Amino acid sequence: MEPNSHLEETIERYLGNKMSPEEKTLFEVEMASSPALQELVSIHQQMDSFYSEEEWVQGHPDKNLLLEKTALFEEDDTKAFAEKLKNFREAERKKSPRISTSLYYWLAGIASVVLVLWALLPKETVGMQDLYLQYYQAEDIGTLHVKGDDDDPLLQIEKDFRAQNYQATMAKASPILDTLSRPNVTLLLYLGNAQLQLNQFEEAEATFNTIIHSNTLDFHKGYWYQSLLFLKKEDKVRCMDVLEVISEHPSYFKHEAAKALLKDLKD
Amino acid sequence: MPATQPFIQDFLNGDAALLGRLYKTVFPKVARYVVQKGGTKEAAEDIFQNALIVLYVQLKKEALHIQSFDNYLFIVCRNLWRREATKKNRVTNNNEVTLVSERTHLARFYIEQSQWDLFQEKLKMLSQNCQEILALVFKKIAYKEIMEQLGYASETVARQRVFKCKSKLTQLIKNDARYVTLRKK
Repeated sequence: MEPNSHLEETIERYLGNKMSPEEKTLFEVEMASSPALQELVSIHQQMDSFYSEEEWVQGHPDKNLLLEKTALFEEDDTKAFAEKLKNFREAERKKSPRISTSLYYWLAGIASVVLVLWALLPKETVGMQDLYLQYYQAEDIGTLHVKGDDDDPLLQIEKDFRAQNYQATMAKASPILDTLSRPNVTLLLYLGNAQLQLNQFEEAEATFNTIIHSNTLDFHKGYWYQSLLFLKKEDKVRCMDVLEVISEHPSYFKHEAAKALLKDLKD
Repeated sequence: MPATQPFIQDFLNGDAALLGRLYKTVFPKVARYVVQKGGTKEAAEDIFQNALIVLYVQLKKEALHIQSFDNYLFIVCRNLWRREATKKNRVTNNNEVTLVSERTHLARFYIEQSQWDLFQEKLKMLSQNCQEILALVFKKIAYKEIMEQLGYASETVARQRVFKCKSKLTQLIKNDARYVTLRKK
């Protein structure tokens, strides 16, 4: 079956539950008699699931394929590995000291006093740092990898960053950026995030500003990292200002996360 | 990431120091994600453990082309949680009957994760422009806004572009031998 834009729209409406009951029935009848259409709908459904954060679409794999893969999980070495994990987890739990009931009450009493004292102290510092840890995800930055070229200097920059070697990331990214005629947003993000990790706030802010003012399609990614920078700096006002910008634009990077963070900061 | 790498061999051997590092560095992120999505820390522990088992099976059978083991582990955990969140009845018991069904459940996820890998790989093969417009489409951004943001002359032009990009992506996916192997019935 050759896709066309009309069919594309029809599938979109079917998967988006935007068809009338009659239209849906007709479409399903058509699908039942056309394996090619079924396949096309299936691929679109998987695209919707795999390329978004929405509901995960569970597959219905071929029975033999499922049996073959299930067997891999039933092999002795897999069971042994699972057992090792279980034992490791239990050992980690046991490392947490157990306390007697009387000691528990003593500690609970002390904790109550600490809580009261904590309530009297300004809480901003703890809250904003916790939120930073909660919202900062290095894996969101994206990849610089060029397929098939393991010697690519950009790949080395990414590797340095993932290995938390931030000085090396900056040392390698800056000269490359200087030679580019157009801004490379992902590379700038690696530079800015390395600066952020090392608490070089002014430099990081300048880098994220470069992204925001770059005439690129991904310019809005700069806003998210700028908001995280202000969060880490505990500059609540500026952080919220930036989050407001992202919240007003549904297409901006991390729009939903920005709204959630904004709400957390307001709470 | 080649399976011959010492790091991978340590993982396959269940090296305690390596597992300890993964629990220390990756698990907190997984726990934050799961809790943020309405789960519990215990659910995050189950997810993390199952994701490690899935990765073990993947790595003993194939060379994964990933840049960062830690990031990939986080992605597997995230996908596994998304899958769990769509399931109404989670399997949590430990008797033999559920262990069997748990293995089937993990095998199903293993197939889906392999499909996810394939779909991501194919998306990256598209032009930068196609990746950008499709990213907006999959975020369910209205065509009017896509048109404005990417500077298309009209919604129809934007739709045509999306159609071409999706068609190209569909072809790339269908033409890959792994798609046929992993295809849903």
